[in-house]
Amino acid sequence: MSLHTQEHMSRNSLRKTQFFARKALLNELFAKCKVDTPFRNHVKHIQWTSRLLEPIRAIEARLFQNKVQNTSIQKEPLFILGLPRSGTTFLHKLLCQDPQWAYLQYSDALLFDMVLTLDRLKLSKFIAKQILPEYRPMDRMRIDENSPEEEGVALANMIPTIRHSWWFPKDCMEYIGSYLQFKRQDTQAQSLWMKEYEHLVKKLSYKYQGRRLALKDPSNTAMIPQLLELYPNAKFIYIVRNPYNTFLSQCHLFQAFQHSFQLQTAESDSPKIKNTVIHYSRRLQKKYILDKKLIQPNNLVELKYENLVEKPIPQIQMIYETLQLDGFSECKNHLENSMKQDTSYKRNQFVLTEEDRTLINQFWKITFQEFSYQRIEPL
Amino acid sequence: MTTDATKKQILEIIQEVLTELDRGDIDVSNWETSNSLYDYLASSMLVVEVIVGIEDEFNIQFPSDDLSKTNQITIDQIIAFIEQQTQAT
Repeated sequence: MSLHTQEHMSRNSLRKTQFFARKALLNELFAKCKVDTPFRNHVKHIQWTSRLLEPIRAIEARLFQNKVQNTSIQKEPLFILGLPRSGTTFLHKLLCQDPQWAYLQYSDALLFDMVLTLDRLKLSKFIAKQILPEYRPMDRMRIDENSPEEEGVALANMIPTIRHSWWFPKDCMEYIGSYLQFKRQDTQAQSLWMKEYEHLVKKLSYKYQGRRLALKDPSNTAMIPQLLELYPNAKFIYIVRNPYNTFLSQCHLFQAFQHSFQLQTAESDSPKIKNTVIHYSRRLQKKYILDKKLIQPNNLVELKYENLVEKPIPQIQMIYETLQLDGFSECKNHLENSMKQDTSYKRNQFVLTEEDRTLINQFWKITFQEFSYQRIEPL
Repeated sequence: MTTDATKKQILEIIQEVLTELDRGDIDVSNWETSNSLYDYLASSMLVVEVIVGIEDEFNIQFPSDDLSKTNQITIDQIIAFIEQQTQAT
């Protein structure tokens, strides 16, 4: 199968994940943003499916709401932070080889509002398997229903989030602005995010019987104060990658996700995508530099993606030691086994233009300085 | 540009950024420039937006050392940095 066909199929599959959005969320989104004609049939399907699934959501709430609500978090979660495409997925996959960690699986993320009920019926994995693509469209990384996934995937079917900037590319700055900056009128959105996030953590903790959670979502890099308010002793890992590679890969990701989720006709031309990436990443980097001081030093590890790729096991050991986590020797065995199995993955290669280089040198300046990356001066 | 003119311009930029973020209720006209941005804004998200606004206006980039102190950085220090950058160019 050609790469193009593979990418096209992945995008079509990802589009189906929209079927699992809550009815109330869809009403809110469609009241705010216009859907363009080519996508109206797809939206009808989303709305029908969402309505059909409402009774299962109600059953889930009736059966499990109190149990989930009464779940206490024994060990506060570990959060993996970083800019999109800086290696957060790679790190998350490595960590999740250690059975001490529980994590949000793709089937959990996709069917979050009904996953406990569907688990009992042994349907959640089956449904997820039918929906999910074999590969992620932006990097052709193999995924399945058990793969670790970002909380943002679950939240995007529950409440308005930054991910809806891909659904509504014409209004994308509004979504990025609202949910990255929490403007004044969005203090309600902020409280809602915290409430749903806490619910997500409790539900996962209930499902995985109190095992410590390893969670990752790049947009959480902007949420350190909120995460610390919920979990004052949480552990954090910040992963950083060479700015040139991160930027180009982010542009590719934004383009691929926009094609996958868009409900508005929008040009996905390169300058527009680049501006969006700069707008978002510039703020995310600064926010991290400002907020990391709020984390106790022994609860934060910073590492470079390049070092992780080169020597994964010593880097993971460093994480365990710095964060004072037990069980590295067992983790090491699992890591060694998984690395033997997974050797075929090829990373994307992108071409850096002079213009890109100038942009990155200007707007990634703090990452070059803070993490000692080598700047390439324009010719 | 004199320090007073820079100060006036920075306060105008901050007011503009806050108005764009629907925080026009924060009045910067009485701000003491010896206080930190965080003292007045109490939110790192707002501090980031103000810093980005100042960077764009003066075509500068705050270095990471300064930025990591930005929660404590005062408007006087921002003025000094801008004047140093403008003189250097």
